[in-house]
Amino acid sequence: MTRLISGDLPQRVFALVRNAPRRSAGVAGVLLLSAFWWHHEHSLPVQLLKAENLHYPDGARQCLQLGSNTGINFQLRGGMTGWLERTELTKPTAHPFVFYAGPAGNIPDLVVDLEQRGLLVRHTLTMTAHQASSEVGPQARTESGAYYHPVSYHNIIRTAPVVIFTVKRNDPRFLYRLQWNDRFLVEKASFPVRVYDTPLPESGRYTVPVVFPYMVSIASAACLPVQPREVTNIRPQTDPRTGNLSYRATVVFSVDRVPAWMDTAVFRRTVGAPDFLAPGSRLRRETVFQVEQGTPIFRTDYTQ
Amino acid sequence: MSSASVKNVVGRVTGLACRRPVWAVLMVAGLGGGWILLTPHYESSRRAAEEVLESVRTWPDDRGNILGAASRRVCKRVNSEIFVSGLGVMNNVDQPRMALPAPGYDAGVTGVYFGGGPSGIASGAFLQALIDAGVVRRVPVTIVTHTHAPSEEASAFVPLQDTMAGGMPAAPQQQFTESNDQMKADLFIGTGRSADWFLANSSLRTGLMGIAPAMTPRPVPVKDGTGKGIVPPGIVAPDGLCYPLEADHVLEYTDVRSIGYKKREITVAILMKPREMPHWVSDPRIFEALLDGPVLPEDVHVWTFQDAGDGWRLTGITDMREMAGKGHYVGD
Repeated sequence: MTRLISGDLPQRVFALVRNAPRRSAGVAGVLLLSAFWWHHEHSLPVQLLKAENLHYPDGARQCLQLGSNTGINFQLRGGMTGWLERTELTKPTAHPFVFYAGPAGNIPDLVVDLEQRGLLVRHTLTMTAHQASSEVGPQARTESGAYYHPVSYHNIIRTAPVVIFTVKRNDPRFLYRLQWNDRFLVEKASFPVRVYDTPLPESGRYTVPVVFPYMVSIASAACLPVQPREVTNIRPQTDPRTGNLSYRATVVFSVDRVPAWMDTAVFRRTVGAPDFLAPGSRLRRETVFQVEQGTPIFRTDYTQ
Repeated sequence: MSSASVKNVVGRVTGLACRRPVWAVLMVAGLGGGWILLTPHYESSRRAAEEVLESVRTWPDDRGNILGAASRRVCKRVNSEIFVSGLGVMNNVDQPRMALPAPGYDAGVTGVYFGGGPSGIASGAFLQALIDAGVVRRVPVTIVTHTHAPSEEASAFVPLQDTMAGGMPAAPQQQFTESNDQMKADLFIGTGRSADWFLANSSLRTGLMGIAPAMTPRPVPVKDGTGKGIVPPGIVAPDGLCYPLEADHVLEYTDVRSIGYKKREITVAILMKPREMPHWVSDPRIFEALLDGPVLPEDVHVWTFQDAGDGWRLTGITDMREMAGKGHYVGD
């Protein structure tokens, strides 16, 4: 060791290079390359890109709100109770992933298109609607015209076909909105099923008790896979109170491929056609990275 | 595979490991890496969910309320219109009422009191359903009303002084009259196993913002040996009904997430079932009178639990975010 760092090191290296010039060039090349690689890997943009990738283990996505194309609306009028038959989708222990549910007529175009493409599965069920009406009929009057039976209830029961379109459980192509039976705000828009299957009385005022699946996931946005490519416009900033260092930067994603089910006229017409919905387009997100123990980690994305 | 060839393989592998330490290290690393790679992350979360289920099964089922507390008891308020109140005011100072001991209503009776009225009074639909189911009985009793009232002379006495004639008018001889009226009455008393569902729990009537608490009927006192009336200690006027749930199994769980140093969190959906379902709970006359919904045969509860190193504890707020698109559904 002492011999290596002694004063004649440059002369020894020079001698080595003169004796074996090709091997030395190779060694120098390898050393240069690894130095370059080391520097590149530890440069700030690459570190930030790594943090960005680490934040999305399943790949980054850009999602488009689907709006009124999805949801559950059986269009039951006020005072009506409706229920469906008990199936794997509607039982109280089910957690269905729903794209759209409603009366069998008037299905949105996007739903029909996605079903043809195999993203959705169609289920046809029967909705039974019950309405108790109070009525003062002619039988409620005596001959002299006085009421002797002021109010009588009659129960009207109708049935109608409804459709439910489901997606694969936890399908990463969608974002989901949860709907569950909160004890304080019972969601009436889920899939009702009768609690008891005892026969209903023919007359009298009663409300049929119904129960819902404990949770329903409704696809609320369609997601496009995007790839983080580069980090630009890096601005370091220090928290004035804590002194923590963070970086504010713009992450540029590229859209390599638009899935076929998004690249349709129906999709552009009903959901929208933003600029990034094209192959080869670029997407920018303003992002904050926080430095923890020398390593930057993802903290906030201002677009999500 | 025969035992000899197994021995042979084991011998070769151990021999290789002993001769070359590098191979031994590689074997250990391969086994460990395979273990880590092949064991899915949700398996450990599954185990945590099962631990949560075990802790739910240790919750008490005879006190508290499943809403907001670690309890397996469900309580539902009842509509106060189910009670029959045809007996007037029970604790009037001047007109105390008490029942003569009768078979079915004496000082030693145990049961639930749903009110009463003059003999033959109609029960409401709710009570009729319970009578049909054999939970409630109509118990005929004789109610004695003791009236302590001013006598007629005392009412007519005007104690004004006549200064011209002089002296006070003579006070009436009899200030008060006592009388006993007897009335045939029917009481609605619930007895037996199903009647255990009904209980006095004034907490069911508290916290109702702006709603005046409904009246529970006051049980009729029974005349005891000394002639005084005492309410039978075993009689209960119900504020609602409560029943225990059994934790059946885990329906869905999220990944266990770290929320701090040695502190973790999981959200679990658990299927709960009533320990028993009497057939009368599905009668429309019954479920119409329950204010907090019907008795559910399958009751799913979703809770968030935290573990700081000493077991899973219920948190006050259920965090549903991880369930959206990331939950692990087990199902039935």
